[in-house]
Amino acid sequence: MILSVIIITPMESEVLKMKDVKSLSLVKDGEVVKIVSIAAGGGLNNQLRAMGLLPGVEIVVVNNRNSGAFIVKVKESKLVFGRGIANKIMVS
Amino acid sequence: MNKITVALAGNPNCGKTTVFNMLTGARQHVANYPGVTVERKDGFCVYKNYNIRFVDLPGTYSLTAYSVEEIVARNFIIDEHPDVVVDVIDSSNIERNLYLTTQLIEMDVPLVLAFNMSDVARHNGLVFNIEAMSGLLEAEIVLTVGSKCDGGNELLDAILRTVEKQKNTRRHKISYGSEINEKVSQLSRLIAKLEDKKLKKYNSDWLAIKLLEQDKQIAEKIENEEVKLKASESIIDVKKILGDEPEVIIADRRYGFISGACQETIKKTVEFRHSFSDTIDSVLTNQVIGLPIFLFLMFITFQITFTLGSYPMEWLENFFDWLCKVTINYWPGDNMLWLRSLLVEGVIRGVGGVVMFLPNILLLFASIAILEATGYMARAAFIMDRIMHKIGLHGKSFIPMIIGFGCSVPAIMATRILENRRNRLTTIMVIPLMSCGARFAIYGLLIPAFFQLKWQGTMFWLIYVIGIIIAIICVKLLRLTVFKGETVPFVMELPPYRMPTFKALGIYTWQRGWMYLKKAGTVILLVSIVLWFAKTYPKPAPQSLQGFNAQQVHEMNLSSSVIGRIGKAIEPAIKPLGFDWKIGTALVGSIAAKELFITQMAIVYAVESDVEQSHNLRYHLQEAYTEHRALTGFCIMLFCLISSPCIATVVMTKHETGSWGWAMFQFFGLTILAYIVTLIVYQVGILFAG
Repeated sequence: MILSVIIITPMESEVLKMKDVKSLSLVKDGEVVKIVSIAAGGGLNNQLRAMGLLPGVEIVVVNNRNSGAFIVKVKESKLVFGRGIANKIMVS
Repeated sequence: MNKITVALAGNPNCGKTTVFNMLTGARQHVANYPGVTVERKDGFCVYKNYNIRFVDLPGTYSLTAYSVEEIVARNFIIDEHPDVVVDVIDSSNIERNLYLTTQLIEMDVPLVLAFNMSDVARHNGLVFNIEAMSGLLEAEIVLTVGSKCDGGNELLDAILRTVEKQKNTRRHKISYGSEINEKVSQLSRLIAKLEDKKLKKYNSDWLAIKLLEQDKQIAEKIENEEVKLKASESIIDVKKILGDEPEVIIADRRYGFISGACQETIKKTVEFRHSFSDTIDSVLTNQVIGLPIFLFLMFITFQITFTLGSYPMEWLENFFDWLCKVTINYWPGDNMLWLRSLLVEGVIRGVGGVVMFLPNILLLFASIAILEATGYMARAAFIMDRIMHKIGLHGKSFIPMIIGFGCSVPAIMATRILENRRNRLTTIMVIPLMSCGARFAIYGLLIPAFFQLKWQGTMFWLIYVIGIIIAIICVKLLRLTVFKGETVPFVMELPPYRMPTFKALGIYTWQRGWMYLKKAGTVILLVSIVLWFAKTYPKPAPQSLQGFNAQQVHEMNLSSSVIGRIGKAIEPAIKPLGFDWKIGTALVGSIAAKELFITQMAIVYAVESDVEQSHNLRYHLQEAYTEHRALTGFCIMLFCLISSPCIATVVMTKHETGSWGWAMFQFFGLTILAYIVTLIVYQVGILFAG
């Protein structure tokens, strides 16, 4: 039997302390932000990563309609996704 | 002549297909990978004493086990050992594209990189140090512009050089940091010692990395307990030391490797904020005018397909009519008249009925190809998504459904643009509820026959709207039961707008057209012949026909035939719907093709089986159904609307879903639904009328 223990490592607590961390869905058109973390499970996380969205990456919000889909620019590519995903991406 | 196999991998939208077309021309073959509905494209070319078979792998952003396309792509590489893998890269978007490259490097395959769209990259001010990058990635790099057929020979030369070179172990392995590197080598050593024959085809380093990434497909293949234990321990260790799952860190390090390589070898000479694509997008995805523009483009697509296509369709129709006349006129004497009838009414009518739609199909797929290749399709999905989401479907589902208003067969083929399987299946199931062209013809016959002039327009509108409403209800039901599951989170790339090439459009359109001819054609032909037998035989004994007039003889011929008997047999079942056996025969006949409903009704009432002269039929119908006329008419239309799609649709469903199970589910599901709904409507209607 393996006892697994959840430890908050120094790195994670740094993240929690950082100021101005907010959900991507709150960022306005034209703003440039950096991804801090993504609260998604395996499959979605992997897809986002493979398309270029991962912590540390800078993105530009192109279109944040108040309802519906979301467009961002990552490096040279443009991605569109739903509000649900935008809510899960924490940026600063 | 040496034979080699080359696989083409790459991101979606990187121009992989254009490069594939450049290398193979029209010498391609499209099929499905066995067991899945992922498309497989093979092609070949002969170059400098080599016979090269190219396999176009599905476009993927990575090679994980999270989607069937990725699994298919990597299984191909592992199981079929291509001699070279060509990674096609969109050089204007290089860092993201190289993510897939790193995974190919991990698989340790002989690699050639095609830096495609190099013209766009140059235009954007990117300058590549090819030699340096080639050294770092340990793969030959060729600049190509697939759409202009540039770089094909250079690419082929690079492929041949790679094949002929001795394969060395890589010098530059991707580093994931000392902690993970150590775990990888420990696991790898353990795996290499295993005696499992099934694992021999895999690189043990790669297996180790996959285990640390908790790759589902690989985890299932490892049976050895010691290895499994070591893997889970390593994962926990990494989480403790580095604070994150190895999967995440490995991905991060891959990007780090890419970033480092690019910084050394790529120079950006132009600072570049707003692109041409962005400007167009600000209009096309604009909150206010985006949707009207989309609807307008859909309208145009529809017009091109069905109105423009009606001209060649008419020519084909005339051709087949002419063929019928020729067969009848030049038939030698009176021998074997049954064979003549079989040929004319079975074969020519059957095949003709399908081939006649070929121009529409070609135009339709050409339109879709243009929308997709320019990149507009992605924007369309984005615009429609909010509305479709409320129903439970993806934005892209809108397009096949609109096509369904013309004909279900190409509509179901068009669902290929939906990547998510559950979404695709749901859409396929309800497409028949979009009243197709054949149903339009049926309404065109029944509405004037059963309703007064002032109600006719309303009834047309009503029956279409009912179809849509029922479709929405069905989607919701399906989503809650059979296709349960969260709507897959919608992440999509909006590729930059591009000019499609005629060559690519031509190849794509022809491939789809040929598929349509083959599939719908063979089965329809068979079914038409079967139906012909069913409505001609068995004939009543000639003596029993003495003394009856033409109309009555006709009716007796019909009732003794197989179809007639089936009609009579199901009469008790359909009486509660307000139908008699004559309508029953027509419905049975319409399973082959919905238009046959009209033909069958005409046969039943012994009029010319020519749609143009259906006003005769209209008159007969009015005479025959005086009681509850409006209600009966409405119920017939309702049943036709909902019930089993035509055979061509069923076959196409089977083809696109990969199983007869789903085709039967659609067939019986819709028919049973039609029965229940019509039953309720008729019985309730009688109550009110009576």
